[in-house]
Amino acid sequence: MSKVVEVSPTTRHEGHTKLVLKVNDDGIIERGDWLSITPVRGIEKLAIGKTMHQAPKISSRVCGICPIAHTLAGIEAMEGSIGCEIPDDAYLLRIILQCANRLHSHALHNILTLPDMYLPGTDTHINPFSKEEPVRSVALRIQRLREIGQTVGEIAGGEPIHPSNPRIGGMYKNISPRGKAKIYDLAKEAVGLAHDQMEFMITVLKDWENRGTASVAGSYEVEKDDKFGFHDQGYMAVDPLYASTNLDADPKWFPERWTEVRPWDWYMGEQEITLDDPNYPNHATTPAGGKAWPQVEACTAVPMYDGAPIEVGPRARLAMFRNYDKKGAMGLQIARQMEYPDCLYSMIEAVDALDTSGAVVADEIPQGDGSLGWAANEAPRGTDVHLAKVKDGRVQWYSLLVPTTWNFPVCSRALEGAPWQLAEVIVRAYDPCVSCATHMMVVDEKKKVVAQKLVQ
Amino acid sequence: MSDWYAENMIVGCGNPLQTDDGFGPAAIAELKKLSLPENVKAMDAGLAGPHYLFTLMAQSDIPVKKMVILDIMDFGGEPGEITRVTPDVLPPGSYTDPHSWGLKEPLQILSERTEIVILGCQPESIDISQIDNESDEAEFWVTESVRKAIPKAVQLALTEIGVDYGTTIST
Repeated sequence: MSKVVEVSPTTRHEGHTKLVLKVNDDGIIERGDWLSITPVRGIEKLAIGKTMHQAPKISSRVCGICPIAHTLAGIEAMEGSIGCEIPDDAYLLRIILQCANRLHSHALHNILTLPDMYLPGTDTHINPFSKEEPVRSVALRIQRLREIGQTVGEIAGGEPIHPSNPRIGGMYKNISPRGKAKIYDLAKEAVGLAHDQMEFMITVLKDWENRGTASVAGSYEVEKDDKFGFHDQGYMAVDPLYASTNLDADPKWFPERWTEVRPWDWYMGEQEITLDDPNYPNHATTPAGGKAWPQVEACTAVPMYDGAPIEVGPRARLAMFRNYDKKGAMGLQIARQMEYPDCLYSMIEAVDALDTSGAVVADEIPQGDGSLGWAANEAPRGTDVHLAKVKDGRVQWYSLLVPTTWNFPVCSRALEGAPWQLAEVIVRAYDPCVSCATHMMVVDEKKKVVAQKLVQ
Repeated sequence: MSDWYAENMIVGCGNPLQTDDGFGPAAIAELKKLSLPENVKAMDAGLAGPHYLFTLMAQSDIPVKKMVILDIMDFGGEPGEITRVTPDVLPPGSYTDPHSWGLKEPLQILSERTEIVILGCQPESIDISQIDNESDEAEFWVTESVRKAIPKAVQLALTEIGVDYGTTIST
């Protein structure tokens, strides 16, 4: 007979989520629901009536991890609506910024992942903040890659965290020849580090995959199977590196293929929790006897593409553009590592091509007629789609379909067949970035918010 | 030293989408209007201070000498009132997201090598902002009481790192 276990909160990712898992007598997940319990972001409402210049700045604040992706996607959705083409050198600066964002984010994710993994050839879990070798050198390498990403982001984007340089019509200013030389030097330094880091991580991830048992961050070991984290859903990516918008000659994303369903129609109904485990890390299992109700607790809508959930992120990019075919949670993790060198080669190509004397703002910036514009940015975790309608310089409508929102239902399916104690390892493979993924607000017929408990 | 640190850092933390939580970034925006010495850097860390900044600074080759954090803090004062604390008085978790890291408090680790001062401003509201300001330039939507505290916060932060900007800033 099935039992229900709830893991709340899940750890080592951004934002707040929980897992509600139906498991069989052997503790294997029969159905898993992974849901956001982060309060709503409300950006779609806040942006209406604002100028097209303000809205991307607002949307960059919905999340503390992905401000670059949201800034670029927001700006390009506005540009898509008003029909504004940007100069080539502005585009190159945005490419550099995108690479810096991905480099930093993938390195940060390594820190969050490593405590689940083992030093190859040992049964010792990796503490990425250990002062002992060989982990110390790995940690310093990760931090240096993050520093390089942030420094390049600051040079190209004007700020290392919330970029101030991108604007509708291009960029506020070009970088100096000295800035160009510095980006080039940093990227060259990082190439070697990135190769080493990629090889280290893939070795560690394959070591984990080849083990018969595993645990979450040093707790008790459980047996796992050879299809850990598999699902049968499809992939969505618009570009190996950057983005697609409705202004492209050959757009790679199609708004008419996107639909959303309510969490009520997707997640499990009310469940009584019948299994807990005080030995689980962080005492994160809810005591038996409690209640879980994913249908009403989930704070996201469920986006579909061609009527089905779809995976976005590093594996989707590699599967669609590089014929990558490794499935499972470790297949996704390995794909992420494989993107390290591309970040830097693309950065070097872009900075080589950049003319620091070139114009970076469009000659003309139309004010818009209310047409739909969209931009699908390949953020570190996957396709970050912003859609906008701008008229007379003001935002009439704005929507964000962010990577983890796409991945919630896919990852939920990937939980099936895994021991429940390792469900978090699968979730972490998706590198959840949840705050910006939360965008459901329940209103009544008078447009008044009625689900106040979600707006904490 | 890494390029995006300086000997003295003034860091604004918070989310402008939640009304007075935007105090830190708003104060940094004011600081950026000033001409600061080369060994001072003002940074808008937004929501991301713990993972974008504190963990990196904690492991950098050459430590940051002093960091002043500007943020809201509920210490029971009047809205707009500013208090000065050091990390040792903060409860664990004040500057980390336990859901994100599950590891040690990054600010506590950092305080072992960097002098850290937090200038906390009592908020009036941290509800999701209604953002009713129609100005094209507006990026911060703090309440009036907190807005009035910003010049003083700027002056206090500069004083902490030994920069005398005179009395041109209205308090």
